[in-house]
Order: sequence, then C-alpha cells, then structure tokens
Amino acid sequence: MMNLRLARPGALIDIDRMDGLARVFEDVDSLIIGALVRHRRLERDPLVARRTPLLREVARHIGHVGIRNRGTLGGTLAHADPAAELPLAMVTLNATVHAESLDRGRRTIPAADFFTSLYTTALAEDELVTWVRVPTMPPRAGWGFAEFARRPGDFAMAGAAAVIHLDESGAVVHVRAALMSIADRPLLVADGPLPHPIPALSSHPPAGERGVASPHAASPLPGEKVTPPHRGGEGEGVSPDPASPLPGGGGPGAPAHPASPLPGGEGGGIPAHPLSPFPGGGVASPRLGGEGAGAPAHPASPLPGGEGDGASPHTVPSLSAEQGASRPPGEGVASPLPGGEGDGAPAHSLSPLPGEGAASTLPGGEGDGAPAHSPSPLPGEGAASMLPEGEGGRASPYPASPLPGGEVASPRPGGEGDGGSPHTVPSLSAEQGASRLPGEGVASPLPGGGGSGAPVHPASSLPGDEGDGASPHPLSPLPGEGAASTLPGGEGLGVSPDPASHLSGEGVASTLPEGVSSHPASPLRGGGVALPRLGGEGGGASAHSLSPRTGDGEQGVSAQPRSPRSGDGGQGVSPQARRSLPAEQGGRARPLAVGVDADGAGVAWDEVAAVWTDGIAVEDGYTRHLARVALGRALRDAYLRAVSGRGMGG
Amino acid sequence: MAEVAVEAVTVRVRVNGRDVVETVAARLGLADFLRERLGLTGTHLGCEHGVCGACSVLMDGVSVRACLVFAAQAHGREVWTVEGLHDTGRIADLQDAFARNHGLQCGYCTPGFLVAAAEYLDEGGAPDEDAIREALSGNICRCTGYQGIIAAVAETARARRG
Repeated sequence: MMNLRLARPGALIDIDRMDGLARVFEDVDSLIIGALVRHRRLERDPLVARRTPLLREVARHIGHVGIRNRGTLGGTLAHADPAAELPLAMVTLNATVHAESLDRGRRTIPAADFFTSLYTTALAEDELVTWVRVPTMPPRAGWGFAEFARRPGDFAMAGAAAVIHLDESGAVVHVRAALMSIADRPLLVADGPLPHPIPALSSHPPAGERGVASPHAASPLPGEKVTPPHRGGEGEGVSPDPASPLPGGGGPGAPAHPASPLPGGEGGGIPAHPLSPFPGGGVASPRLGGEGAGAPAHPASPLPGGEGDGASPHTVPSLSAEQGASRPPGEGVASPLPGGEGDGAPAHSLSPLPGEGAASTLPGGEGDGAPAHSPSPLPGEGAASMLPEGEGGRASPYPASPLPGGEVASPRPGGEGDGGSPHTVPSLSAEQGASRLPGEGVASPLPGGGGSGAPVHPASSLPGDEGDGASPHPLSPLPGEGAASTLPGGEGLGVSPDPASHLSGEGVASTLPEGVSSHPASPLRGGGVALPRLGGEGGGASAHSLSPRTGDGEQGVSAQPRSPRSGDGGQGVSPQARRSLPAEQGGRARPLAVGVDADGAGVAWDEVAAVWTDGIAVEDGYTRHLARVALGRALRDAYLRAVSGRGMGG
Repeated sequence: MAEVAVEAVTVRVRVNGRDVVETVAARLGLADFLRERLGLTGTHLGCEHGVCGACSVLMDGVSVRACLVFAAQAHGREVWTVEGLHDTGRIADLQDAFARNHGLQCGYCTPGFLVAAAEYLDEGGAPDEDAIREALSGNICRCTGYQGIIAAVAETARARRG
C-alpha cells in the first residue's frame, strides 16, 4: 500500500519486536492468537491445525510463502481488505478481536462488528489489535472453506467459509457462514438454523421430512439408519451404507424398493410416478426428470426414471446413448444433475453447469465415475458412488429398484458398473456421464437413489417425494444436490473417505465417506434426491454448475471426482475439474449439496447457499454465482466434516 | 495526506555474515538499502510491490520481499542476499543445477528464485514437483516457463537427500 502510495501515513511505528504478541495460547474452548502471529505459522502450527483448522486452511490461500512469512494476523485484520481470508475466517468463527489503547485499556470486539467497511474497522485511532480469541471446533461441528481466484495466491473473486453444528442426533442445529469479496466487508450471511423452507429440504424435507416422509420415511429411515451407520463407520459406512442403501433399499428395500416405488408411488403421485412407476426409483428420476428437468428433463428424467426402468436399459448404455440423447434433454436437466457433470466434466462443468452439476456428480460418478461411479455413474455419482456400494447393496436395489430403473440404471451402473466397475462403464460414465448424467442426473439421483439402490430408493423416494414435491424441482434441486452433494460430499470429503468408500465399495459408503455417513443416508437421499435436484436444478443448474465447484475445492471437485474416481484416479477428474475454471467447478458444484441430516432429510447445500446469497446486492451476476458456489461448497464440506467427526481437523 | 516526516534512523544489521551499521531514511526500503547503500545489486527490484519475488532475500532464515520491508525493520536481524548465498557456497549445487537445467535465461528473476529455493531446501524440502511449485509460486519468471527451474530445484533436493 505504501509502495504504491495508496497509503502515506504520517507516522509509522514498527511493532515487529513485540514478541509477546507473536504467541498462541490454548484455552478450554478457544485459541488466543497474538496479533504478530504470521500467516505462515497459522499454516503450519499443529495447535492451530488441531483446534482451529479453518484458520490453517485459509492461511494457505494467502499470497505466497514470502508474503506469509511476513504478514501477520493483526495486520490483515486491521487492514480489513474485504477480499482477505483471515477476516472472513474470523467472522465465520465468531472470533473476538482484542483492541487496546493506552488511555482506555482493552476492549473486545466481535469480528462481525470489527469490520465496518472497505479497509475500515471499528478500531479507534489510538487502538492496536493485540489478540484474537478464536472459538475452537467443538465435537459435532465441522468447517468448510472455498474460494475462487484466477491464480493461486491472488485475491479471491469470491469465497466463503462455514461452520455447522450438529446435535446429538446428527441434525443441523446451527450454521454460521460468511462470504468474502462480495461486499465492503466479510459478509455474515448465516448465523442460526437452516433456512426454513430450505429449498432443498423443503422439497425433500417436506417429503423427507416427514411429510414427504414417506419417501423419506423410507429413506429416512434408511437414511437415518444410514446416517448413523455412516457415522458409525462410515468407513464401514459402507456397511452402513450398504445398509442404508440397502436399508434404504432394503430397508426401504423391501420397502425401499417399494419405497422407491414409493417415490414412485409417491412420485407416482406425480409424474414422477409415472416414472416411478418404474422402479420407484424410476420415479424418482422421473421426477427429477420430470421435475428437474422440467419437462425435457422429464423426458429425460423419465428416462432416467424411466430409464430407471428403462433404466435397465440404461443400465446401460442404452441409457447412455439414449439418455444421452433423450436424456440430454432430460439431462439437460439431468445433466445438470448429473452434474453434468460428469461429464463433461469439465466441459460440463461449465456448460453444463447444469450439466455440470450433473457432471459434477457425474464427475464424481462419471468422471470418474467411471470407476467408482461407474456404478455410480449413475448414481450419478452420488448415488452412484453410493450406490456402488450400495450397489452391492444395490444389487438388491436393483432388483428392487433397479428396475426402477433409475436405479436400475444406476444400479447398473453401479451394479453393473460395478460391474464394470462401473467405470467400465466409464463409458457409461462417459456417456452416462453425459447421458447419464443427465440420466443420471436424474437417473443418478435415482440411481443415486437408486444407485443406492436401495438407498437410492430412499433417495429416489425422496426424489419421489420430492418428485412429488415436485415439486420435483424442488426436489430436484434438492435432490439434485442432494445427490450431488452426496456425491460430492462423498466425494469431496469423502475424498479421502471416498477412497475408502470406494473401497468400501461401499459405494455408498465411500461416497459418503465422510459425508458419507451422511451421504449414505443422504446419498440416498441425497442421492436420490439430490440428483433429482440436480436435475431439477439442473436448471438451477447453473448454480449447480457451481457444484462444479466441487471441482473446486479441490476437495470439491477433486474430491468428488476422486471419490468417484477413487477408483479412477479421483483426481483425474478433479484435476480437470479444478483446472477447469471455476466455472466448471461451478458446474460441479452440484455435488455440493447433498448431505443428509440426522433426520435423514436431504439437504441441498447449494440450494441453501442460493437462499443466503440471492438477496445480496452485487454488481455482477458472475460474482454472485461464484459466491453461491463457494458457499455451497463450504456448507457441504462443513456438514460432511461435522458428520464424519473430523470437524476438529483430525 | 499527512506530511511524511523524513527522519533518519541508524540501522544495525548483519548482512551476509557481516555486521553493518548505517544511518538511513526511516522509510528507505530494504531492497534499496542493499542495492544502493551496500552495493549488493544481486537483489533485483521488479514490481516493487510484493508480486514478482525478484527482490527476495532471507531475513532471519525465511524469505521476505525486500521491497516490502523497511531497512529499519531489518535492524537487529540477519539478512542473506544471493551474493552471500553464492559466496559461501551454500547454493553452489543449486546454481549448478539451474545452469544445467536451463533454469534461467535473462537472469533477472534468478536471484529471487535462488533465495526462495534456498529456503525450501534449507527446510528439507522434498523433490516433489507440487511442493516445489507451491514454494516458488511467489516468484515470476518470463523466460523459462518454469520447467527448468522446477527441475533444478527437484534435482538439488534429491541430491541433498543423498
């Protein structure tokens, strides 16, 4: 600032030698960090990594080594650049800034009140930032961070951080989230429960929530169970998942399918039903399709769903192909869903957005999907992933759902995929990816749902529910996300997990991995739903596109991809994804969403992000889009970490 | 804007192993201090606002942008520039690797890269491309495309690890 003569202070006081302020203290429920602690230390200090992992993560995004070696916490807070990471993190963590003056002594200022405008803080002229008290991550809490910058180290065009707290049952009880680079200060956009109607939730919830419940119910159960399972072991998760899925599937399984059906049934209610008809899953998809896609989609979806039925068809290729084709439409939506992902991964990503979304999913699924996905692929990833596992489970699913089509499809994928490893499929993937995706999108969802087979169903159910809800869209969205998320989640986080998951074979599980657990449930749901959403959203898509993010985050996408990939190289995808542009990422975003709460209700995090970002006055839509995608990813990651018990940075 | 007072301060700093005591303008940058007062022109100034990394020097063991540090802030500290790293042979292997791997062309950014790489290697950096790219991400080179630089640092890291 001074080099550019943007700042020409009349007096300069070097506080660099106040070594007492270059320390970090550990308190029972917080860390007390001195103003002279360097970014480089936040990045490397084990204590910071363990107690306030969000700070470690954001510090790594500040400039470069040579900058982090000199930059201090107090300096960045007092400078108050709205595009800076640490101010965002402090607002998100609800940190307290200690300011001291010779005349008045010390006073404490909540971070949210500390930043008042561009490069402007609540500090008086004679005050100096001395310490910052940062609440540490309690059990059942998770954090997430995502930002978009043209080059690593550059100031972010948009970014978000989130902290999510769960109650003992695993339900989301509190969300605190903030955005950077979108206003004249770090903007706190959430500090309480999830939005009521939670888009996603609504959709789902409704259903999911009890209303929908049925579907959910089914799922839920499954889901829930799942969830637990997840948690329990996600790892096992698998089992869980499986279970879940199964559960779902099975649980539902029997029911599940039925369930799915339900969905269908329900769905049936609606259009979906038609779909549903098929498998239930089918339904779901349908829904998705229907919904999501909206019409086109529907078709598509249907496909999916139909597919589901068709699915089977899909199952294969056909699907793909068709889907592809048909799908496309559907996909369109679907894709979206899928994430389009998948596919296109990158491409999708972008475009796709929707596609991407799908892709993402796909990605997950697909992209990789292939691998894992393959199965998933369908599932769109999410599901897919899940499925995969689920698959096993699925199998059943299939049976059941499978047929359902969507699932089936997925299943296939999964199942097959599995077979093919899905990947095998890859083609599928690919196709699927594409088609699938869409299909998946829907399908996935379904699949996902389905995929999950059972689980899926759940999902499907959801979808179905959703479907119904149709509100497909709603659902879809949700679903989509859900699905996506799932995936993503799975992935994202999952990533690591995923791998595992993958391993797990759990298909689901994997996905879930972390989130997993959730996912599992979610997956299902998520999956199911999610996809739907996606689909639905698909449209929303773009937003979803965001999902692409998934990509983003490394995690996001990568993760996903990976997860999915796991099998593959997760990365593969990821990388691309990542590299792709944010946009792509965005695309991927999809994945974001999903997550299931304890209730098993699916949460489309990107939809939640939309709720919290749509009302913000921004000069350009692109910035809002990036902020939404980033927030969706941050929320998803926070949720998955909370569910996996890794919130503390372990 | 308030009037910027031009005051003189006495700086005692250990540069490349040698104690230096100079009275300088309070707002003289470290890079200008090294180049103009001490004649150590190996430290290059590119962007002059912390982006390019050409002015990187080691201060108390870690790389810093000499254009973003006042000479007065180096008071009581130990600074190593590329000249000191060269004269002591600390980076002889790294310099050799740069030459063999086409890690430089015009050479303007090279001192900054050598300093950043020296920090990375001193910390036991691994011959991992991703880690090396992250460590050198704050330095800009317009000639080599970085491949040769990355290869040189990786090669040196491998050699130092035996």
